[in-house]
Amino acid sequence: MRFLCMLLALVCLACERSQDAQPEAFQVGLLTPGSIRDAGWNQSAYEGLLRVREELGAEIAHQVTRTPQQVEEGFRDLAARGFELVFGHGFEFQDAAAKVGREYPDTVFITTSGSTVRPNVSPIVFELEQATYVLGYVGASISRRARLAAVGGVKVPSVASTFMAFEAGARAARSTVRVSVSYIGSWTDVSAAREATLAAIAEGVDVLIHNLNEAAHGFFQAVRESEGVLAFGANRNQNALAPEHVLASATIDIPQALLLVAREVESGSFQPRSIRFGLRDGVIQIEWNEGLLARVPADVKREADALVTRIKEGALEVPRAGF
Amino acid sequence: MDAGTLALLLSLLRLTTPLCIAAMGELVAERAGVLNIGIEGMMLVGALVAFAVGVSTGSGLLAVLGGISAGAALAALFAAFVLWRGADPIVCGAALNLFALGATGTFYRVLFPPELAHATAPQPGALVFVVLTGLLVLGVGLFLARTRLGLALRAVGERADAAHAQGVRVLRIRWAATLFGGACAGLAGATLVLWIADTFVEGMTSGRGFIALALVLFGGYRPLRIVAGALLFGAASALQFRLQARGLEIPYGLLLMTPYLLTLAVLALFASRVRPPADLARPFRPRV
Amino acid sequence: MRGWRSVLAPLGAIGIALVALGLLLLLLGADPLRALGALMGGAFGDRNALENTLLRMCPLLLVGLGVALAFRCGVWNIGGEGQLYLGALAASALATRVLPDAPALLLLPLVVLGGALAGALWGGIAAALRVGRGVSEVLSTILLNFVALLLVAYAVHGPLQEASGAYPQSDLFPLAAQLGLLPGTGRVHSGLVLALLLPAALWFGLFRTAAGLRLRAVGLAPEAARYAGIRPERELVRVLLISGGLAGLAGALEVSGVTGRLFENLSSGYGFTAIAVALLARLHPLGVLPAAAFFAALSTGSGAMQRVAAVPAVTVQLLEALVILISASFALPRRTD
Repeated sequence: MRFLCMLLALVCLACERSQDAQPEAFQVGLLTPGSIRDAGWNQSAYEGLLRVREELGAEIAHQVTRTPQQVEEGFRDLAARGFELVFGHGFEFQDAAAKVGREYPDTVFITTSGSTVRPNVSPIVFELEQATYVLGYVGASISRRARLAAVGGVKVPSVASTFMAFEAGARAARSTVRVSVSYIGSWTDVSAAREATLAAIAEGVDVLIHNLNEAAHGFFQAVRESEGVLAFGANRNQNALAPEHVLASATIDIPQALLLVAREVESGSFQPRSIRFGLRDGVIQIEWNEGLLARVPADVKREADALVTRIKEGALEVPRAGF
Repeated sequence: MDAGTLALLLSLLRLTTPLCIAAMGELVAERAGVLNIGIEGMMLVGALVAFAVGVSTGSGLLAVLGGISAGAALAALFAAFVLWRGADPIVCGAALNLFALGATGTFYRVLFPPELAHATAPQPGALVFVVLTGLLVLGVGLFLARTRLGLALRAVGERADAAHAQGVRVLRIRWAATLFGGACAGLAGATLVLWIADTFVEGMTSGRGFIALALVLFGGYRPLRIVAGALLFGAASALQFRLQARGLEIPYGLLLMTPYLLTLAVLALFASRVRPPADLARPFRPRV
Repeated sequence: MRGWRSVLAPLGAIGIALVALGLLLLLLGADPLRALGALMGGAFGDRNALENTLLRMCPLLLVGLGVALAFRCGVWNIGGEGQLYLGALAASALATRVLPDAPALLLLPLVVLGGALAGALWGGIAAALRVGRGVSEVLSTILLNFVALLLVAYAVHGPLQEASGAYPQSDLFPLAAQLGLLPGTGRVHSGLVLALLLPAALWFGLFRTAAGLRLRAVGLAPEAARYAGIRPERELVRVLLISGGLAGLAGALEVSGVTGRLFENLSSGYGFTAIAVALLARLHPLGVLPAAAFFAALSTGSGAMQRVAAVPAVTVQLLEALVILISASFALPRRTD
């Protein structure tokens, strides 16, 4: 019994301590749907949060939210504690952002992807499709058998959309090209990613792209062990993961995007809108593997660069799924 | 054999081996009356430790041993709660899976900060693991069917009280069976990072432990049938990837369900032949 | 003395678990006082926190009651998670596909009832396998959990996906299919009242009625019960239906009272935590109330540990698991002996 009293005292003491010291700093929160060590989507966002802390001196908070209820709790609690800006990292955060946004008009809620716009709720839309379109074009041009493949984790709109653009780019280069798309049904199953990739290669595919998180390791392992196969990285610069095979990566500079939005909110110039980042802003990039550029015929590389320019100028509209 | 067939065969072996290893361990534990649904977590811990040992020592053998001991260590924790404290095996198994996910994540981040994330584990080669699995299946089969200790173990799983009355050390056997099950799960996890993939990622077991659990039932507690079941599930996934690569739209959501549905069907159709040990998941307290 | 013990043992277990949690935090280099403070603050600190805890308590309470009832009868229903998902699935199918245009007054009761029935059906499969084929319900309910989870995943990517086809989620429930809020609260749905009344009702049913006596008799000694003219099989079917129905109800309340849609990751393992709830409550219907409150507080508080004390999510997961392990094993209810 004495033990329980002591415990209670300890707990009271702890509560006491957490309540004092309210700093005046700019406060920025981030909710991610998965682990921040996924070598992909979530890790980039967390790096963005750290960058915001570094550059703006912001106080930061992060939570992994796996269920809709946790999302709402996270948004509401951070808003109630006076956070000026909270990021929800994915389309699945829109409902909660709109709902909690109504209750806390002084907090800005940003969902990365999505379409919901409210006075204090806006989505960031990463137009990774612009890059995968160009890579599809390059892939179809250099594929010996006109067979391309894409390996994805779970069929969510953002992933399906990047593959759609990849396929469209491939067809623009060569109408006879075949592009197959496989999903492994998981973001973490390295082994399934490897088998799905090997299966595609065994079917005659010689150029591949992926959109996987942790499981991407399996994709690159499969590519490394296959002669004469070229691949593209996605989301981050993954050229080093298989330097003999990865020709280029379609990258999203998520940290830069978060920082740009955080600056707007901090300076008070934020306007609610669908915030689009593409090749033009440098947030989306195609990072070439210099060591393999010799494998790309000069005219193909020239055409790819021309495509990038036309996309940047707005002369070429890259297809993307409406989500 | 042409290259394509060989590739398919290798793919099948990679998809099957970890399932077989984990299922053999679970088989022995369940035959002794211990239902361990924490093998998913034990695999995960085995994978991380095998990876960490492999990267730091460069030795495949030490990595395998590390994975095995890690799985057994977590199984010891499970046994301490379930056999010693008499706690509910289901709650403990489910909580241990959560625990393993959290513990591997925490320690992975401490041991491998982002700069080291691209470390790769040594690869002793497919042959090692295939032979090891063959020996394991053979050993478990012979042990359960042909040895006195195997007989005692089955007696403990069927009727712990009766076995106790005959002088069998019930708890000691259950402890040993649980540790063996954990060790096998740890080995299965080690296989994942030393052969199937060459690196560790959080949550990389992706439900294999649960499929192994279903396999034990699917195979009706017989080692060879369990292997056959594993080959069947493995072939289904290998085929599924091939079909997707051919451009077929596969409802992979439904496919993921098949191991469980098939096991349920086997249970419903051949219940009399798939009888689990009578004292499975029942606590045993010797009356002194 | 015995009565006291049954209250003190769970309390002691919680105490041990919290101390272990503090020590582990210290070991991992976090400030344990700050983390524990965040945990408490996140669970009870303000109105939002309290409402979060109440919301999470609802499914834990319902599923926990079902588990306690089943375990009392010697039926090891591990399928709470699957039954909950199936309830949510059925409720969503009814609300968004089958009956969205039903009269407003009828819609909500039909949706909630449909969810409960679907949960009962999922429990009923396990009962049929046990009675008809002698398949242990422990194993069949584990398998059925996976099938239910994958079924929901399939549904939100396929037949139940929202009309716009964009995201893997169902359409928003029509307003008439959403539970009203309790007056004076920001988010607590009225289903909680039902959930809070059930422990007393089930206590009465279990300890003050003949049906309850039969059920307990089967749990204590099935063969003796048979001599007394009770048919254990019938009790088993009944208790699995009730237990599954309660979990299905919990699922229906989650979609119609909290999220308004069906999602893949609807439950944060409520079905498994509910087993710990029932055990910590020593399988007593009234005990389920504080036990569910404790685990609900742990789960909301652990979110705050991440946000306020910056403890990584994986570490929080480890701590939560440890608390479940310790509290469920040191509170030792007696199983079959």
